[in-house]
Amino acid sequence: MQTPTRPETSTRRRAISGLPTAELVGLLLVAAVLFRDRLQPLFSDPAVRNWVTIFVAITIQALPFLVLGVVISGAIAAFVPPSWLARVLPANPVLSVPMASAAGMALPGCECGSVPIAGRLVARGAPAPAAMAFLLAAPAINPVVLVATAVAFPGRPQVVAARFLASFLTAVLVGLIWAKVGPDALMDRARRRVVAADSRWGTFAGTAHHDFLHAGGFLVVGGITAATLQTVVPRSVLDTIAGSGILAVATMAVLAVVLAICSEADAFVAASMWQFSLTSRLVFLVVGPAVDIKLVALQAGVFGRSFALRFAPLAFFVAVASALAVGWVLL
Amino acid sequence: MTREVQSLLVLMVGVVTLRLAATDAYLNYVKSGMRPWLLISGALLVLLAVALLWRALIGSREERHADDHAGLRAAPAHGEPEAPDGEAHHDHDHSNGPKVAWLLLLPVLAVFVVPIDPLGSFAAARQGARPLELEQKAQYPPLPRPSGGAVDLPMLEFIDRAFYDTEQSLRGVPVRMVGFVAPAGDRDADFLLSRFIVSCCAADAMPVQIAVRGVDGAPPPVDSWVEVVGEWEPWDGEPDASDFVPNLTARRVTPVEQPADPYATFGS
Repeated sequence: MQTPTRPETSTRRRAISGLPTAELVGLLLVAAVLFRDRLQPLFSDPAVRNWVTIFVAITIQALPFLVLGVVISGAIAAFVPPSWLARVLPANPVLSVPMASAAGMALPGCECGSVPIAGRLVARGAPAPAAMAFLLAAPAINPVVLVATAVAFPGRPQVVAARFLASFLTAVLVGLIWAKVGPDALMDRARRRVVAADSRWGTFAGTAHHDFLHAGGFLVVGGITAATLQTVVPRSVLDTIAGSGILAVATMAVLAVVLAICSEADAFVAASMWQFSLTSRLVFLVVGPAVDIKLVALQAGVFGRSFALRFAPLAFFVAVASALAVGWVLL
Repeated sequence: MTREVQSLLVLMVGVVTLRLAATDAYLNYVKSGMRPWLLISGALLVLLAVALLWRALIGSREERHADDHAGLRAAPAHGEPEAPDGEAHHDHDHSNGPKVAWLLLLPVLAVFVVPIDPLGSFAAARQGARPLELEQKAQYPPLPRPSGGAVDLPMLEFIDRAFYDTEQSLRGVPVRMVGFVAPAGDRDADFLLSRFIVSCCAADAMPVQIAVRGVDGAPPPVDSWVEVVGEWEPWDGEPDASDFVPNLTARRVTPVEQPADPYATFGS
């Protein structure tokens, strides 16, 4: 049973007694369009324009993947029977985690879509470690990303192989570690995200709608952060750090987190950073799809902040370690 | 946030996406191959929002009444008979969406209010033209036939040939290229003809630049688009690919409209 202090109760009161938000939003938009000519000069500073272009670019670019993600999420909620996932996935994480990682290969797209799907899998009764493995594997090892990597590193198929192996290893290891030490209570928020409706299509639409609003909002948070960092910190600063030692690895790992580049495009950026050792660039390719600013924001939204605070560092260090190990053998 | 407002937000995001993709405006943000996906996802969002808006308007009175009675109910979540902790309840997702969703207004407003323009000399200066890993070619195909006295070349191909073509196929050939103007900085040049290479979206853009020299009069305004006809200046000795900016002696510099797609992609 619920207590009367649930946050939605208070929000509901405010929504009813407070300002008519629909009209306010409309008014704001009409004002924006009417006073456009007067507002535009406010945005003449090149740094501001640069920020806006990168911010909108990140949002627009992620949108199709996010929509694909919430459509799949809605379909899982509406058409996958609740106990089915728990039944087909082996109870033993040693089996279910690699299975879920391999399933990630089937979802073409970048990371934004996989977060709502993983959240929905958990809500539908999938074991958390398997969902975590899927979350990490899907954006990193799908065919589209691997082909893009092959194109970006012409004549170096070992980079593609290393990326695949290191990302797969990251997904499996994080899944298994989560099975051992991950507090199950951190999944409660994701499990609660059930949209009730009277029909299957109602559930489908309601879930997709809700997940889009939620994940979309956090995507904007990620876009703001990434655009700010890209505008404020010039990439040319890197030339002073370049090298091949541990500093290069650390730089590329941190860069993967702050640049928040889509996993389909990060290989091209990595390829252009020729000053850095191939292994440190592999670290960039393995860390990026697992942990970056917009992903952490999305995960905080779907699974809660305390989850993101534990999961992001775990995924970060496992990704760096996996990339170093695979890079040492293959590159 | 009422469910009507939630659906309005989704509707606006969908409409803005469709609007950007229906015109060439989206090309300022993402690569051209994204267009069908933007159209599909924009249409899906509009469809979803309209369907839910319609349901909300039709059923709002009825359900609000019901909700007043069941506001604190432990709703038996639909089709979820065995929630793990026995705390099955429903989030009231319909009636108050996540507050963070308000942020979706930001990209909508940005597209409406801020002039839509591509990355320019500001971003080029911050990044610098860093060397790109290009496919090693044993032999370069012959240059296209000249038209109007010069060969039309993408900037990236010019740079590729300038650095890596041992046959020096560019030597003595007048070429024509389009790009925007960036200041020359401390280079011995009039301006830097610049273009961004985009793999997915503007967040991964990388600039390529050519130092244009020998321009008559003042260089064209920064961030304006120009067509340059000129000739490559061959290296004295070995090219230094760590500075990825070849020199070009200009014959003619003409202002042009910004191309529909301001960015270039690899392999085009």
